This record gives sequence, C-alpha cells and structure tokens, in this order.
Amino acid sequence: MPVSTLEKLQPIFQDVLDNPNLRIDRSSSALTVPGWDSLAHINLVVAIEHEFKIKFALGELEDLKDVGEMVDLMERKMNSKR
Amino acid sequence: MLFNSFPFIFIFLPVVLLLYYSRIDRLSPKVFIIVVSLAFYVIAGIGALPLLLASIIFNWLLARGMRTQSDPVRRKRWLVAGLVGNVAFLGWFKYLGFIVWNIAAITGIQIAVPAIVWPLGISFFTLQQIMYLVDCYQELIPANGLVDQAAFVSFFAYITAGPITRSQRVVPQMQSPEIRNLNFDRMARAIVLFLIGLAKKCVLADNLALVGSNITPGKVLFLDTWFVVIAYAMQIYFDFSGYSDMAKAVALMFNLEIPSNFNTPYRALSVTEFWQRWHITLTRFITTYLYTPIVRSFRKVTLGISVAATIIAMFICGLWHGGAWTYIIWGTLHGVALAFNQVWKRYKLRAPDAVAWVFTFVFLNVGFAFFRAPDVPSALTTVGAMFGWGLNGGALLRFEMLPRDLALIFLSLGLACFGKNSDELTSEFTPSWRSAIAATALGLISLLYLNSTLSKVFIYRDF
Repeated sequence: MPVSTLEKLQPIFQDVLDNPNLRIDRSSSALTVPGWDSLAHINLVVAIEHEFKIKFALGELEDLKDVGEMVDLMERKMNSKR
Repeated sequence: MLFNSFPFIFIFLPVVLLLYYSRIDRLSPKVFIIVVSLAFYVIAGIGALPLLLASIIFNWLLARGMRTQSDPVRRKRWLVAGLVGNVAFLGWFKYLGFIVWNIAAITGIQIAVPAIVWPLGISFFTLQQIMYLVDCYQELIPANGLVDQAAFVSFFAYITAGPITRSQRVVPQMQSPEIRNLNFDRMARAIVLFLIGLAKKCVLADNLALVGSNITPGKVLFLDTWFVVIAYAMQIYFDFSGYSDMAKAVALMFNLEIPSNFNTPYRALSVTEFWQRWHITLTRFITTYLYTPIVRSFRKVTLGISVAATIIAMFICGLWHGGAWTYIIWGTLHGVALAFNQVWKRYKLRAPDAVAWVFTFVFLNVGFAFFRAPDVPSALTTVGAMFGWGLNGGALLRFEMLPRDLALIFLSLGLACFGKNSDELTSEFTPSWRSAIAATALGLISLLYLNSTLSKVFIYRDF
C-alpha cells in the first residue's frame, strides 16, 4: 500500500519543528501544534517543496489553515504534474 | 477627509450609503465604489489623483501583459518591470529626500530637491498592487479588468492606511449586485464597530497624545520617561487599531469583508507573537512576500538563513514606514528580536509567562522610543533615560506626570491587555435595546471629544 501524503509529512514536521515525538493529523494547525508559528510555517513549506518537488504560489501560503488543507493542495499540485 | 471628522460621519458616509442602497444610479457595485472612492480621494487633495490613476493603469497593463506571455522568461521580465516600477514610484515620493540627505551628510554634496508631498495612501496601495502582480505572475489569480483593478485599489475604506487587502479578497465580493441589498444585522454590527474605533481614536488616542505636556522641558526623569513612552505605545495602538476598526466597519457598511489588523498585541509573550497580533496585514505581507522569497532561494533553511532573512525583511519593514533612520533602527531592532526568538526557540529555552511579558513589553517600548523620536540622538537620550543614563531631575522615583495622565495611561494599558478586542466585541454583538443604548452613549462621548480641539490625524495616515 502506498504511503499517504500525510505520513510522508510526519518526518518533515518532526524535523522542522524539532520534535521527534510529534504526530500530526488532518486537523492539526498552527493553533494546536506547539512551535508552528509564521516562520516555522514558511520553513515547513520550503522543506515540503524540496521533498515533494512541488512549488506553492506565495499567495497560497497564508490561506492554509490546517494540515488537511495543506495535504489537499499538495495532492492537487502533484496530480496536475502527472 | 478623515474618518474621525464631522463631514465624513454626518455628510459623506450617510449620503454615499443612502445612494448605494437606494440604487437610483443603476451602477454596478464596482463602478459605484470607484466613483465614491475617487470623490473621497479628490476631497483629500486633487493633486494626487493623476498619480493614483497612473499607478492603477500601470499595474493593470502590466498584469494583462504578463498573463498574455507564455514564455516564462518573458513573463518574469514583465514581473520584474512591475516590481521595479512600483518600488521606484514609492521611492521617488517617500525616499528621495532621505537619500539626498544621506548623500549630503556623507559627501557634503548638496542637491536641491523640490518639496514632494506623497499621494495619500501610497505606501498601502503600492503594496497591494505588488501582491497583486506576484499573485498574477504565479497564476494564482486572473488579471483584473480595469474596472476591477480601479475598484480594488481605490476603495476608500482602506486607501488611507489599510488594512492591506489582497485583490482576491475583495474583487469576488464586489462582483455580486446583491451587495447593494441592505442587511440590517450587518449594518448594525458595522455601526458598532465604527463607534468602537471612533472611541479608541477620539477618547483614548487623542488624549494620550497630550500626556506629559506639563513636564518641564530638558528635565530628564526616569519614571516620566517611561510614562511618556508607554503613553505613546498606547496612543499608537488605539490610534491605528481605532482607524483599522473604522476602515473595516466602513467596508462592512458596503457589505464587504476586509481583514482585521489587530488582535490584542500587548498581550504578546514574545516579539514573534507581537507581530502575529500587530498590524497583521503588514506582517502577512512581510512574511509572505519578503521573508519567504529570501529563504526560498536557499535549498535548506538553516537557522542562520532564517535569522538573516528575518533581519533583512524587518529592515525593509522599518524603511517602509518612512525615510528616516529612526524607523530603520526600529525595524532592524525588531528583526534582531525576532531572530533572538528563533534562536531561543531552537534551543527550547523557556521563561515564566510574567517574565516573558515584561521583557517583550520593555523591548516594544524601547522600539517605540525610536519610532516616535524626531531623530536618532533624541531617541538615544530617551532610551538612555529609560535605563538610568543621563538623568538630571533628582531622585529616581520623582516624577512630574499628572495623576490624571497616569490614570489614562493605566486605564489604556488595562484595556489593551485585559479588555476584549474589537473583533471579539462585534462578534458577540446582538442587536438589543441594551446594546443600542451602549453604542449611542459611546458615539456621543466620542463626538464630544471630536468636537474639542484635540482631534488629530491618524498617525499611520502619514506612512
């Protein structure tokens, strides 16, 4: 079974937010995850872009309210590349 | 024309709203908004109108030109031309004098510069159009038609001093002819928000501006210096958040939702948190359109890159406020503090909330000592006195500040830290006799103060 986008995100979040025990789900957001502030958000985005070979438009970044929205946008971008 | 003026409150706004909802003109909402916004702009000074129109047309043409290009290199050239054009436009009006002044200070070469008065809201509508061009370039939004572009840029609710609003936030809302249908519930909420903003400006900010006027000139007392600086911190908050409430309320009166700018900033326990709560729309611009492209240009975001990008972005933020070293130092200090926060977080250091609040609040006031000062030497004198340097008035605990002024400072500080903010108050609002009486009382008190000679222009109107 292929690894879901959410699972692939786990090590990126753990690395960027420097918390090896962190587990995120679709409802996780900057409000619920410690250390996820605006700067960490940008660092997450840059790490995701490098890992998944996708590019977010700058204007898309501030509209991502939680991990679910982030996963959906990533999958749309990956599907449009195929 | 100021939001906090009798002509605006009793003539311009009611007349424009009456026309908007009566629909006697049969104009689309966008065209109506352009007509009244340009009228508002002309009343503020007709000389700047051609410049505003030139900026709108320039960006409209550029975005259209950019979207017709399929070759990425050519598209990028259009974007770069647009960015350079906007920055040069802003630079000519806001920074020419500052650049010439610095050249003269360094080389002794005097260059005569004509006195330039910049167009109202130039800093704000230029940023909005930079965001628009970048979003178009990245194919996030389609290029606006000329009417869309003119309505988006000129809307009088935010043209004076923001909130900095993105095209995709307002243009889709303006498409619907139904926004010219009156919604009583929304109008009531908008009026309450406007009155809260008006009270913040007229009752608190304008009175805070007069704090310390009795203090003997040249006498530098420790406590008085702190009181004066804290009074300014309160003044600028109630001034700018009051203006932002009124701007949001005016947009809401036209059935348009625009973003909030403040979320109880003086409760912040770090400088990072402060910027998530203070001038939020500018923070978003800085993080998204300045900080992100800098860090993105590197393959891996290290702490060092993040720190450098933060300081550069905040240096530009300081400069954006105006061509003066006081603003640049203020912005750079904030950049260094944000960088310090990042390092602090990386090493998982913790401080008790009370200690974190005190450090943050002290830092913010040191920053404001620069922000409010006419020049760097005066700012250094103030900051020195805040830490016991250069005092000349006697005992450390002596002060001249009047009890009335002290009461106002502490009342403002209490409201800023413990009171509900405008968004909380308006989201809880339900129309009732009680809320109507409270809002009327708030309005009457504000108008009484507005009628006095104290009333001042908004601080951010000059940026």
